[in-house]
Amino acid sequence: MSADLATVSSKAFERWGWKCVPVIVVCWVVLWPVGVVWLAVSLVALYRARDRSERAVAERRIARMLSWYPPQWRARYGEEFSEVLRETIRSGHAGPRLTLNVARESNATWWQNAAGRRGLVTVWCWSLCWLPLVSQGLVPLIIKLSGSTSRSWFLALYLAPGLQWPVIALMVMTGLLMLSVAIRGTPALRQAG
Amino acid sequence: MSSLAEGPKHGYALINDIEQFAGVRLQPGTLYGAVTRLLEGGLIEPMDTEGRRQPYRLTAEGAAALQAHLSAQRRIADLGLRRLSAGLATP
Repeated sequence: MSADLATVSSKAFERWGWKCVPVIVVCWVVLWPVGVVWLAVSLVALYRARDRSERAVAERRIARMLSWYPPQWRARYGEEFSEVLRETIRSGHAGPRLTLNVARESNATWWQNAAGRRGLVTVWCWSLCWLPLVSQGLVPLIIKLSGSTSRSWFLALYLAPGLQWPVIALMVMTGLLMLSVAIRGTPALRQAG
Repeated sequence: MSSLAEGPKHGYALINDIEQFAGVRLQPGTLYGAVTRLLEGGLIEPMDTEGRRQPYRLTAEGAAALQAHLSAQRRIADLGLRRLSAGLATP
C-alpha cells in the first residue's frame, strides 16, 4: 500500500511539478508521524485513566451492551436488564456467548418497528458507506488517474478496461447514496437518543 | 411462562428457574426478547420493583394461554407415548 502511495506521489510530482512538494512533505514527514504519535499517546493516556477493577470493567461492558438497544427500549427496560446482566456476569456466565446473544437480540429489537429499522439503516450506512465511496471508489479513481498499474484489492481495477470507469462510478454513487441516507437519518436518530 | 406459573419472578430468577426445570440456560438477551413480546401481548405484567430488579407475573389472559398451550402439549405427548408403546409392543 505504501508502495502504491509512493507511486501516486511520484505521478503527482510528474504532473504538477514542484507545487506538490510542500503537500507531499507535510503529509509524509510531518502529519503522518505526528498523527501516529498523537494517537498512541491518547490511547495510552485513555488506558491509564481507566478504572481496571473487575467491577468497573463489568459496568463498562454492561453499559456498552445496553447501548446497542434502541433508546425507547433502554428507557423502558434498561435498568432491570442491566441488573440481569450484572447478576449473569457475577455468576460466572460472562463469556463471549453473552455478548453475541445481546448483539443478536438488540439487532432484532431495532428491526421490530419502523423507527428502529430506519435507525439501524442509518447506523449501517454510516458504518459501511466508506467502503464503496472511498475504498472501492475514490482510491481506485486516484490510482487510475495517476496511471498506476497497481490493482491491490480494488475490484474495479481487476475488470476489463471498458468496465473499470463504470464500476468506479457505480461505487462512488452507491457510497454517496449511502452517505446521504446516513446524513438524512441522523437527526431522527439523535432525537430518539 | 411456566416459570411464572408458580408466582412472580424477576429476570435473573427466571433464568435460574428455567435452567433448573428445563435444563436450558437462557441468555439475558433471549429472556428479555421473550419478556418484551409477552408484555406486549398482555400475557405477563410488571409488579412493583425490588431495588433494581423488576418482577413479573402472569396475567389472567397469560394463565389461560399457558393452560391451553400446556394442555395441548400434554395431549400430543400422551398420544405420542401411546403410539410409541403400541408400536414397540407389536413385533
